[in-house]
Amino acid sequence: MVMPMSFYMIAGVSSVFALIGISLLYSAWSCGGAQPLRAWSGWGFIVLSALSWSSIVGVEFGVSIATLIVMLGVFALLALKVDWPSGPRPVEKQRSGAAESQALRLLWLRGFLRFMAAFLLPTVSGLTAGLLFFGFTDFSDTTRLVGGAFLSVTVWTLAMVWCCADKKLLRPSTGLLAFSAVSGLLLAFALPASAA
Amino acid sequence: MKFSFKPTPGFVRDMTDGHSVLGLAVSTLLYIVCISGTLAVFYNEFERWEQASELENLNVEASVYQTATENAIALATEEKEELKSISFTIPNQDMPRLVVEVGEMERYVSEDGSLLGKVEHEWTHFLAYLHFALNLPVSLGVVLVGLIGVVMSALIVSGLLAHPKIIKDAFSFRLSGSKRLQQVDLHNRLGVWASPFHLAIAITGAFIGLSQVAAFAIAGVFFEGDSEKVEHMLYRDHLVMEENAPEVAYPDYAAILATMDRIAPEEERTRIEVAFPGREGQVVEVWTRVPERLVWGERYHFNSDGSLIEKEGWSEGDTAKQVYLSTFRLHFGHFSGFPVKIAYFLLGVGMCLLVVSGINIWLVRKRQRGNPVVRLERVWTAQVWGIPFAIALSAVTYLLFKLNAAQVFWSVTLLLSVVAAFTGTVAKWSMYLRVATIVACVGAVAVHVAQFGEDSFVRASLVANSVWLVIAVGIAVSCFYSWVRQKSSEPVSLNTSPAGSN
Repeated sequence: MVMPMSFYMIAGVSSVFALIGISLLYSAWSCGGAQPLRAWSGWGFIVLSALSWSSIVGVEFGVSIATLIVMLGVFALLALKVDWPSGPRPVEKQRSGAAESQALRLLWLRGFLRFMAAFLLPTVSGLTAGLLFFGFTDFSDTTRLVGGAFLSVTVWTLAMVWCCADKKLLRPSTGLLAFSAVSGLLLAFALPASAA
Repeated sequence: MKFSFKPTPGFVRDMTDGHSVLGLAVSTLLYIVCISGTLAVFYNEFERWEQASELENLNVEASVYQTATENAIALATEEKEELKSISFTIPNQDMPRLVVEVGEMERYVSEDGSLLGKVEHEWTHFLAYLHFALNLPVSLGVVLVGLIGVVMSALIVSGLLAHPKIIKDAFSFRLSGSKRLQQVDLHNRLGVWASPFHLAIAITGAFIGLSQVAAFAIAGVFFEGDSEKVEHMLYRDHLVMEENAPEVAYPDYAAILATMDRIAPEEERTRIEVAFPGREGQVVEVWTRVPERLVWGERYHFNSDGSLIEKEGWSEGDTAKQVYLSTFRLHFGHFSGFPVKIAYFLLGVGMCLLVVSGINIWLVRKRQRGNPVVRLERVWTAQVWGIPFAIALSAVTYLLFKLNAAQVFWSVTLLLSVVAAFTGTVAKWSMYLRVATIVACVGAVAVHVAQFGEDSFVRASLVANSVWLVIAVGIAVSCFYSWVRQKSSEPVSLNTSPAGSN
C-alpha cells in the first residue's frame, strides 16, 4: 500500500518531536541543577509526537509507535555517548571468607520458603480477586470477565512483589492468606444470585 | 514497609532482594521465553522462509475459492479427514499465500484453484511453541509461560521501586567502570527506559497465558464447570449442524466477497471459513484486519447465498471485548507494518540483555562478597550463548535433515548446561559458544540458499535470512570486542573472569 507524501511528512515531523523531547529530557537531567522547564518541555514534545502520530495512524497505533521511538531513541543516544571501555579490565575487589555452613543452610531454607510463598499465595489471591470482581460487580458479562482477568494478573503481580520484598515473610503470608480466606467465604456464602 | 516518594534505604534493599529472588527463580526459562519471543516477531517471515519457493499472490478471484473448495473436499474425503469445516487463508500482507485447510490437511492453492504441496512450517511452529509453552503439553506450558509473565511484571514493578535515583541516573551509562557497575548501568538503563515495552509484553503475555486459568476458575465457581459458557461471553456460539443434513451447493464466494467489498472495503481480509461445507445450513465467516486498530480483527457471518447474517463487533461496541482482543497484536508486534517489527526485535534483544545482566549482577556480587559460584557462572554462560546456538542449530538440522527442532534444541541446551557444570572456564564457554552461534546462523542462511537458490533473497526469505545474518554480525562484533579486551587484560585475569565475558 502506497501512502501519500503528507503521511511521510507528518510521520517524519512526529519522529523529530520525539527526538527533541528526548534531547530536552537529556539536557534537563544531565546537568546538575533542577531544570523543570526543560524537563516538562521534553515530556510535552513526547506527548506532541504521540498526538501527531495519532493523527495519521489512529490513537492506538500512534501512542504505541511514539513510545517505541522514544525507547529506541534513548538507547541510540546512550550508545552514542557511552565511553566504551578499552585497555585492561580493572581488577575486581573481592572480600575473603565464606559464610558459615549453618548460616548458609538457614539462608537457603528461608529462600525456599519465600519462593514457595511468592508463587503459591499470590496465585490464590490473584485468582480470588478476579473471582470477586466477576461475582460482585454489576458491569456487563464481558467487562466482568476481562476486568476480572486483568485484576487477577495485577493482584497476582503485586502480591508476588510483596512476598519477595517484605523482610518479614510472615506479614505478606498472613495478609494474603486472610484475604484469600475471606474471599473464599464471600464466594461460598454471599454470592449475589445474579452473578452467574 | 513505609511507602513514600523517597524510598528509604531499607525499602530499596528489600525491593532489590525481592527482585533478585524472583529473577533467579525464573532466569533460564525467562531467557528462553525472551529469546524465542524476539525471533518470533518475524513469525510470518519464518513461515514463508521455510517454504521459500511457494507461490505468492495477493489477488485471488472468487472462482478460485469455488474450485479449491471442490478439490480440497474431494482430497479430504479421500484422506478420511473430518469435514466439519473448510477454511482459506486469504492472501494478505502478512501471509500472501492462498492456503486451504480441512481437518488436519493443509495445502497451498494455485491460481486456478488446483491444490499444490503440503504446508510445512514445523520449525516456525517449534519456535512459537517454545515461546508460548516451552514445548510442554499446551495446558501446562501456556500456564507456566503465563506465570513467567506474572513474574516478569513483578520484576518490572520491584525493579522500578528498587531504583531510588531513577531520574538522576536516567542517562548514566558507565561502561568503562567496574564489571559490576557496567552490568548495573546496562540493566538499569534498559529496564527503566524500555519499561513501557516490557510491561506491555509481560502483562499481555501473562493475560494471554493465564486467561485460560481465570476462565476455568470462573467456570468452576459460577457455571458448574461449564467453560463454554465463559467462552461464549467473548465469542459467538459455535454452530451445531444436524447429523444428516442434506447436501447443497457450496457457498457463493463471489457474492460473499462482493458484499464484503460493499460493507468493509477498507478492511484487509485474512481468512474465510465455511462451517459444514456443502450441507444445508452451512454458514461462512470472513475474518478481516481493521485499519488503525489493535484489535485482532473483525468477523462477519454470512449465509451461503452471500447475505450478511451479522458483524460480530470485535472492533466496536463492548470495550472489554476490544481490550481483550487488542492484547494479541500488542504482544506480537504485528501492527503498523515492518518498522514496528524491527522495533520489537531490537527491544526484544534489549529484554534478553536485561535478563542476562540481571543474573550477571548477582554473580558478580557473589564473587565480590567472597562467595563465588563458579559452577553456576559457567552453566549460566553456557545457557546465555548456548540457547541462541541451539535455536539456530535446530533451524539448520531441520532444513537439512527434517530433524525434530524441539528435540535438537532441548538436547543441546541440556547437554551444554551439564557439561559446563563440570568443565571449562566462563571466558572459554562464552567465546566458543558465540563462535558456534555465528557458525549456526550463517549455516542456516547457507543451507537455505543451497535449497532455495535465488528465492532466498526475495520477500520474506530476505527478511528471515537478514535476521540470521544480523544476529551473526552482532555476535561477531561482540566476539571481536571481547577478544581485543581480553588480549589487553590477559596478565590480569583470563581464567578468573566472572560472568563477565558474556
